[in-house]
Parts: sequence; structure tokens; C-alpha cells
Amino acid sequence: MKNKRAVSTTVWAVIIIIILIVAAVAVWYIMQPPAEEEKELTVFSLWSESEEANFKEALAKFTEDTGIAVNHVGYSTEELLITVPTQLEAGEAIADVVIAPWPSWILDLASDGLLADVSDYMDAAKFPDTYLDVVSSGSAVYGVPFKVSGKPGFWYVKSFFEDNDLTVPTTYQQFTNLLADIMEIDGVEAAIASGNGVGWPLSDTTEAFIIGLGGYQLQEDLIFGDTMFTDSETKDVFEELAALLSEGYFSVPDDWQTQVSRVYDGTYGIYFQGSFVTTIEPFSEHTEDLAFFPFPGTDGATGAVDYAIMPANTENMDEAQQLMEFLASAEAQEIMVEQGGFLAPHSDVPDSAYSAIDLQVLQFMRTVTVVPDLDDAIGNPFQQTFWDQLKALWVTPDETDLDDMLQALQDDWTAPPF
Amino acid sequence: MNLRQTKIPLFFLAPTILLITLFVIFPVVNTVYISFLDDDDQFVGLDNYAEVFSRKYFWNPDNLLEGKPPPYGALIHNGIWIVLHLPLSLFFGLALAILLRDVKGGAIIKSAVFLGMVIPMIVGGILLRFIYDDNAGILNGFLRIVGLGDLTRTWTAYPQTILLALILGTVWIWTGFSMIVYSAGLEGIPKELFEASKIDGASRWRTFWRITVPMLRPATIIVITMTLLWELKIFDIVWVIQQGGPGGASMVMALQMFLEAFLNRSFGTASAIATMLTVLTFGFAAYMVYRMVKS
Repeated sequence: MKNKRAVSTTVWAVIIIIILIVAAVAVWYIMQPPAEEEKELTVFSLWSESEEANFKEALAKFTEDTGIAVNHVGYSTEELLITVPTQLEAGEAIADVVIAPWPSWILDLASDGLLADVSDYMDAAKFPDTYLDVVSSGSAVYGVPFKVSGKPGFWYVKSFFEDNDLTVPTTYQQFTNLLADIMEIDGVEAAIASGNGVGWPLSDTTEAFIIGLGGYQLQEDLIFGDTMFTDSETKDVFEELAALLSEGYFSVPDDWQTQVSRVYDGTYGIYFQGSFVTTIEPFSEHTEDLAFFPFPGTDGATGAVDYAIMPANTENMDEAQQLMEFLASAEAQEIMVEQGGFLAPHSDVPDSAYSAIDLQVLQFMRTVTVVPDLDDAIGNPFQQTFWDQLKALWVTPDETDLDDMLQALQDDWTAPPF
Repeated sequence: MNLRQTKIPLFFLAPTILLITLFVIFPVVNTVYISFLDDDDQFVGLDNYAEVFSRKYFWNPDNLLEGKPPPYGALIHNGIWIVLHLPLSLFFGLALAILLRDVKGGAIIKSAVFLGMVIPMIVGGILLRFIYDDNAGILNGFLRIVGLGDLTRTWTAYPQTILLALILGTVWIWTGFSMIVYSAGLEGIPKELFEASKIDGASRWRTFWRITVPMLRPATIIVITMTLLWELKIFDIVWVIQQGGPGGASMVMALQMFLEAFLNRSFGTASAIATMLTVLTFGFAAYMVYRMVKS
């Protein structure tokens, strides 16, 4: 009995000693001064592959100049649209800088006090008003225009046109004749490639028809509500588009990057896309065989601007400000355009920085009125409805009631916040 | 029961009750509360519910009544999902469980069928997208082989076919679950019952209907309950394939709720849909649990 009690006492003593040691180590650990953490900024964007490589090159220059490391996280469209507002509303600014192309989304966040005014970090005189107006509220500017994807028109492979005696159209009649001619070529499945994804490739193509057939003013009027989607002027454009869809000139929508290969191999004849399409393989490998023609007779074009925005409650305010200033500089934007596929909104970036094909896009954009992207400017719920309705129109043009469709678009239209 | 007998169980239950109250009951009650508020937190009664029902993406029975293809609205799409997916999943699960029970290597085939349940639903959705693709899809490849090449298309790109394509695709994903539950249920039926029916001269068909089916009743209730709840909450597969499109032809309630809350940032209407979804799932679940306890 005595022996048992002795064992028990020893066990208790060991347990108490272990507890004391663990407690002492815990107290020592807690009392340690926090190690000096190296500041690292986090940037969210929609970029991957070549676009991300471009951006990382610019970021490397920033890190070299300032010693501030930057971690880039690429998101999909849906992820960025949803994740950032949720995080900011929860008071968590996980990203110190976000790069996004949706002006109304940016101003929505700004109106909730979630974004910082960035007007002090850039020289506004160096940027076109068109790009700044849509992210401004009063004297405050909530986005630094960082790069532009010009949407110049339909891309085609020059050798494909030459081999099949096709000519670039200068009138709408010539354009429809071209589509018919392309359809006659052996191996061609459709004259125009249609990109899918969440829906933006279809909306970009549709906007080319709105601007091309109705003029840039129609696009602006639709954005600001001066013309309704149900008005005859708008319906005429959609009827023309639906007629071409009914003729089978457009392919069934498929992954927009996959369609690039199919245009290059002659499965499809032409492809309406932004200038960034030249960075996608196999186009990127054969830019000398690549060209574009604008929508015949168009007086306008959309330029999708990627804006750098800064959450109001970022923990690394000073470093984030430095990064914003860098992104707003001609130096950073020149690095981006040198990699190809994009235009710089900063007026000090010289023409010599562009590749031959990008310079052609830039020169074309200088000849027309650049207007905001329709759905990016109006925002949600319109954008989601616009993309979704177009997906249905593209595959069922004969069954789609255009009046119902345009009414659905009008129902979800809201005045843009700029 | 004296005070001590009451207090002791309460003492041990307290942490659980506290956690359930914090993380389940409070969010549910708060969601119901938010469903009666507008964006400025003003009480608006049932306006959010009326708003949700006024949207064709949620409620569009006209096309159904006129015999047109989808969209019929998220609520009806969930209903169609239940009407088609539930019986098919039950049937294939039961059939496979019975057919593979005494087959050599049946366990390997069961494992293969169950793979659909093991993979994440997002991955399942991506797989379905490829299966139905016009160029790369196995379904269209099969149609070309059997001489039905004219029927080939990207089945998930068209409003007429996407809902059916998704429902049939998810039957493959969910059959593994019902097969496993039925397999376990079959193991629980005493062999003496089958032996006695054989001695009595009962046919296989009669044995199936008089012994197997009644004895699998508890398993059936579990499969029906779980499948119904899954069908009402379906989201990820629909999202990854066409985000509810084209033209809202594959929209479902959970996805509509998600879009309202996180894309449109309209928490009142999102909460209204969430509340309806909760009432439906809770109603079904309570009824099935009642049936299970009763049986």
C-alpha cells in the first residue's frame, strides 16, 4: 500500500514538472519580441500565363527599386468579382492592391467606403479623361489606369486570307459577303469563332455590332440610359446579329483560348477579340502572319482598361501607395506593353515601346472614339444577365424572342455610378 | 426527476447547445430576419419574396405550361431535378447493389461506380463538361460510332438540353451513394428469409418484391432523404458548367441565392431565397426522419 502511494506521488511529481516546463516554455515564447517581418505586398488580378509574366516583370522592377516584395495572386473573373467585395466588407484587406477591369464595380466598392482615393498617386493629366471619368466620383479617383486591351476588330490569319483569295471588307455588305465566302472554304466550320468563358467574349462581339451598326453614340446612350435596349434602334442591331447567327456564321461558343488555335488552323475564319489575343498561342508564335480589320465603317471602339485599386484599410498603406505610384508611371506601363498584347493609357509611353502589331492597334484606336465597355460600365446584375442572354442567343437565334431578351436586359439595367 | 437529475445533463449539454445556438440557430434566425429588410436595413415585409418571384430566373412557369424548353426558373428546375434525378439514382443504385452482390470482383466495380461520389463536385462538373463537349466528349464520340453523328453537339451549350444533361450526368455521380447504402442494407437482410422463400417455391421476382424491397425500407428512406437534400442544395456542378445559363436554363435556387448575395450584393433577396430553401429542405428532412422513426 505504502509502495503504491509512493509510485502515485512520483507520477504526480513528474506530471507537475512537465506542466511547469511546458508553461515556462510557453511564457518564454510569448514574451519574445516579434521578429521584424519583411513587408510583402499582395496584389490580386485576373492575369495568368503571359499576362502574369508581363506583370511580374514590372513588379520585379518595383521590388528592385524599393526593396518591397510583391506577391501576385491570379484569380478567375468570378473569383475576383466575388472574393474582393466579400473580404473588404468583412474588414479584411488581404490584397493591398487589386487590378480589375470593371468601373461600376470599383465605384460600388468606393461608395461603400472600401477603397482609397488614389488621385494623389498619379498625374491625371497623363491619362485620357475617358479612362478616368468612369472611376471618378467628385474630385476623388478610385482607380489608376494601368493597361488597356484595345478591341480593334476581327483578327485573321493573313496566309489563310491569301490562300483563299479573301479580301478585307470596308463596307458591311462586303463583310457579309466575306462571311459567306469563308463558309464555302473546305474545312471551315464557321466564319466567325465564338469564345466562351463567363460570357465576356460574346458581349465584346455584340458591342462591336452595336458600335459598328449603331455608332459609338448608341453604346454611350445605352450605358447612360438615353436609349433603351427595347428601342427600335437597339433592336435593329440585335436583329442583324441574330440573322447572322441564324445563317450559322458564328461557331458554337467554346473556350476562348482554344478558339485561337482553331482560327489559326483554319477551322474558323475570323475572331473578334481584344489586342491581348496576340499573346495567346499559336497567335503569339506567328504575329507576322496576323492582322485585324475593324468592323466596317465603325466610328468607335471599346478599350477595356485594367485599373489598379487600393483597399482603404490595407495594413501596408505606405508600401501600397508606393506601388500605386509605380503602376501609374510611364516606366511600369512601358514594361507591360513591351511584352506585347496591350496598350498603355499613360501618354508618355512612346510608340517605340510597342510591337508592330500593337502599334497598328494603337494607331487604329487613335482614329476612332474610344467608349467604355458596355457591361463593365453598367455592372451587375445587368452584366450577368447580358452574358447569360447572349449565350442563349448564340446557340438558339431562331428560338430566342428578341423582345423578351431585350426587355430582360432593360429590366436589369441600372444607371452607372459615374 | 429531481433537480440534480435535470442539472447534470444540462451541464454536459450546455457547450453543445451554446455552439449550435451560435453557429446554427442564430445564423438561420438572422437570415430569416434579413429577408424582411431592404438594402438600407428598413423593414419591407414580404417585398423581397415578391421581388424574387417576379424574376424569371427564379420563377418562369409560362415556358413549361406552353411546352417550351427551359428556362422555367430556379424553383421549377430544382423540382425537375427531384422528379428525374431521385428515381433514377434510386433505381440504378438498387439495381447495381443487387446485381453486384454475388458477382466475383463486384467490389472492384462498386469502387469504380463510387468514384463519382469521392471526387469533388467541382471536378465532377468539369468532367461532365468534357463528356458533353462536341469535339472532345465521350458521349458525342459514342454517338458518332453508332452512326448518330447528326445528333452530336455540345450538350451543355443549349437551353433545350443543358438541364437534362446535368441531371443525367449527376445520376452517374450520385448512384455510387445509393448503391453503397443499398449494398449495406442487403447485407443486413437475414439469409434465412431468402432460403425460406426458395423452399416455399417463390419466384425471384416475388422474392424481390416481398422480401428485398420491404427489408430495404430503412435504406431507401436514408437514400431518399440524402438525395432530396442534395438536389435542393445543388450548386457547384451547375456553377462550373454554365453559371446557371444559357439564358437561365440551368439556374437553381442555391446558385441564384449565391449570385444575389455575392455578385449583386442584394442580401435581402438572397436571404429570401435562403429562407425558402431552408423551409423546403427542413420540411423534407423532417418528414423523412418522421417516416424513418415510424418505420
